[in-house]
Amino acid sequence: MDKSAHLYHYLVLIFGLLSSFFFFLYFRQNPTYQMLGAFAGCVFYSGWGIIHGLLEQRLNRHVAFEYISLSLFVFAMLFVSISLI
Amino acid sequence: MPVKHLKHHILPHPIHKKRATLLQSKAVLFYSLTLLTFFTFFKQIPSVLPGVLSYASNITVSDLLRYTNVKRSEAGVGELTIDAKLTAAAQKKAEDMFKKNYWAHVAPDGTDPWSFIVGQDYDYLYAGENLAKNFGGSRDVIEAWYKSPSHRENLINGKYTDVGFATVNGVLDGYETTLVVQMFGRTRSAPAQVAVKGVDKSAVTRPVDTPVTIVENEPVEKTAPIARPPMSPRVDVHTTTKTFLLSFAALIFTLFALDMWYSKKHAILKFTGHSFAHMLFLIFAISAVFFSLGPGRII
Repeated sequence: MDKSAHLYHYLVLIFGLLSSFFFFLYFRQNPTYQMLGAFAGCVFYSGWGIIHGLLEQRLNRHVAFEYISLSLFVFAMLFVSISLI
Repeated sequence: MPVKHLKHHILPHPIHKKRATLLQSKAVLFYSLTLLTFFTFFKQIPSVLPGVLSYASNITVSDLLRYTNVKRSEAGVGELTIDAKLTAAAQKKAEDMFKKNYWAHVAPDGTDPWSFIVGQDYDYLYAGENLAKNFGGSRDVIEAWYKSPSHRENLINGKYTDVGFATVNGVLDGYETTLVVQMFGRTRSAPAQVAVKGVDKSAVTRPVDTPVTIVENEPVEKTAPIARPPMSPRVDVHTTTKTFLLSFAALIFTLFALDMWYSKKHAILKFTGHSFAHMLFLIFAISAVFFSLGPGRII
C-alpha cells in the first residue's frame, strides 16, 4: 500500500476518533448518549482496523480479533467511567 | 521464572513474531473482564457496606450564591437574595430525596418541587429548581448548570428575585454524596426584573398564573442557609475510578509503545494489527475518561 493511501486511512481514523471524543464530551451530562458515543467509537475502530487490514491484504482472524478485543477493552473502560460518575 | 520468559511477557517475540504475552488478544480480553469485575465490585460495595464509597465535596451555600450572582451579573440580570422559605424548601427536597432514595425533580410518589415551596408558605408567581449531585466544588456545580441550556434558563432568569440552596450530605443508592438543591422563586408581591431572551423552554420552571392548591400545610420554618462541613470520604469514587482506569490504560499504552519500539529496533515483522493505531485509540480513550470523569451530574 502506498504512503498516501496509508495517510488517508489514518486521517479517516483520526477524524472518526475525534468525532467520538467530542460527542462524548458534549454529552458529558447525558450518560445514555455518552454510552452510545462510546459504543459507536469502538465499533468504528474495529471496523476501521478490519477494513484497513483488508485493503492492506494482511487481514486474518487474529488481526481482526486484536482490533475487536482492544475495542472491547476501551468500551469496558468508558462504560465503567460513565456508570461510576 | 527465567528472565528470558519474563521478557516475552512485555516484549514481542523475535522468532515467533508475536506480540508480548501481555498484549495478545486473550490478555486484552482478560483486562476487559477485570474492568467489569472492578465495576461489579464497586456497585456491590454500597449494598454490603453502605456509606463507605463516597463522592468528596466542598460545596458551600455562600459560594453557590456568589457564583450564581456572578453569572446573573454577566447576563445583565439582577442578583438573587437568599430566601429563608426557599432555603427550607430546598432542604426538605434534599432530605426527601435521601429518605425516599431518588434523584429526580418529581418524587416516585408524584411529589413535585412546587409542593416543597408551597409547603413553606412561599406565595410564588414563578418558581424553578436545579439539582446536582456528586460534585466536588461550588464553582463546578454552577458551571455545569450554566452549560446546560435548561438549567441556565433558571440560573439567569430575570423573573426570579429569590433563591434557596441546600447542600445535604447523605447516602443515595448506597453511595455517600452531597446533593445540591437550588430553588428559585419570585413572590407575587415582588417587583419584576429584566426578562431573559433566547433561552429554551425545557427548563424545570413553572410560571404559575393559576392558583396552586396547597397540598401540605406544614408550619413555616424560618431556616437560615445551612453550611455543611466538607465531606471527607473514606473511599472517593471519582479518584479511585479515575486512578484505576487511567493507570490501566496507561500501562497498556506503554506496552504497545514498547512493542513498537522493540519491533523496530530488532526488525521484527509481526503479522498483527498496527500498534500505532492502537496507541492512537488509547489516547482518545484516556482523554475521554480524563475529561468525562470530572464534576458530577445535574438534572
